[in-house]
Amino acid sequence: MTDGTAVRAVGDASAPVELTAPTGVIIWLDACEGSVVNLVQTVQNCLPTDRLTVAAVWPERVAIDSTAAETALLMTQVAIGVVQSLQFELGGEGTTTNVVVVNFDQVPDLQRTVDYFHGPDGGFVAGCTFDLRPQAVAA
Amino acid sequence: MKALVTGAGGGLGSATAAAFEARGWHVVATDRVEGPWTESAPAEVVVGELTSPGWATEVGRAAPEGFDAVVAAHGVEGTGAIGALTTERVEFVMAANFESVLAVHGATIAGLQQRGGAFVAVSSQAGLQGEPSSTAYCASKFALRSWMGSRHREFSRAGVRYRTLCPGATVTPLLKTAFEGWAKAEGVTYEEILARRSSAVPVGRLGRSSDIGAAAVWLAELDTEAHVVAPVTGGEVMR
Repeated sequence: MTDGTAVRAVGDASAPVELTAPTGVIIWLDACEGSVVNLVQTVQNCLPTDRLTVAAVWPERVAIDSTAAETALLMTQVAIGVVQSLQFELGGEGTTTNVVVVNFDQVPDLQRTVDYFHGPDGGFVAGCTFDLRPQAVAA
Repeated sequence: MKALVTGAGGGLGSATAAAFEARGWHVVATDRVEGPWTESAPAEVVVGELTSPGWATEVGRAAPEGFDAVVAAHGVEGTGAIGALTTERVEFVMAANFESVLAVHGATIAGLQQRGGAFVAVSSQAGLQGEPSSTAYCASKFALRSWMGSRHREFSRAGVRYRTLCPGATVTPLLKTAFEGWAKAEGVTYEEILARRSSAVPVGRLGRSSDIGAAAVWLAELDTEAHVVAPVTGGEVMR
């Protein structure tokens, strides 16, 4: 298992220093700059772990019809695909993985989420995506 | 911080009340009858039918300035093959799992608006994906999730935060009753249903009520105005 406070960054943006995980690993994915290869390699380097959360982090202000938004949407979908595949592959071995979509300034909500997912009662949340951006619309 | 938890005498409700209290919240627990409590006895109790005017009055007295969180954790099982469903059965399940939540929302929305509170409705993974021999139950839980989305569109600008919690199969007395009903509908044994459902969960176990209680607290304490729909299903339903 990895150490208890591991945060790995994918893309150009560094993860905030205050972000911590009670156990397992957080991957801070810069949704506008990260690459598929880097994401997969980072996941590989995190294993084995019992809890893995990919934080797909969007820029604070991105126009819905911009190239940046297209890229962020693409990388977010990639992260969802990777995590769901990983959940099927490693779930039986005790690994739970999820995706949390946030804006850059939503670190407190991301931290609350990681505290639950990576805490003693959070292991039953598995293979899911939680879009916490204020403008997100759930079906 | 003050929270109202409905169905607090049941498996999920009781665990939810306990989880809020463990985080330092003052909990007003409500159910149709007072105890026996599955977890520890709550600090404050309101007994009554959620749709009765008397219940709304009592809840108003318990929190004159409103609640910071309301968790609608009550519900009934709703199994039954489509061919055997009666009108009365469908109406009962819809009233208990859906229409009563509207009553809870109506009784607490003014206070939630004043305090910028969170309304957490406990739907189900059966509100995300259809299940066999559960027509009425799925109807009630799909309706609840959809209704929460519409409340979000109407009230989120007024500062109310909407969260829909969708538990998977969680070990509670209600689940045992549901599995027994499901087994009867399919003509198999309870043990066969239990084994089938457990093996279908990718993390290899059924949920615990503490998983759901902790999820309700997490959802209530999130600041985001987004309508968060949270499957807590062990990966059985990924979304």
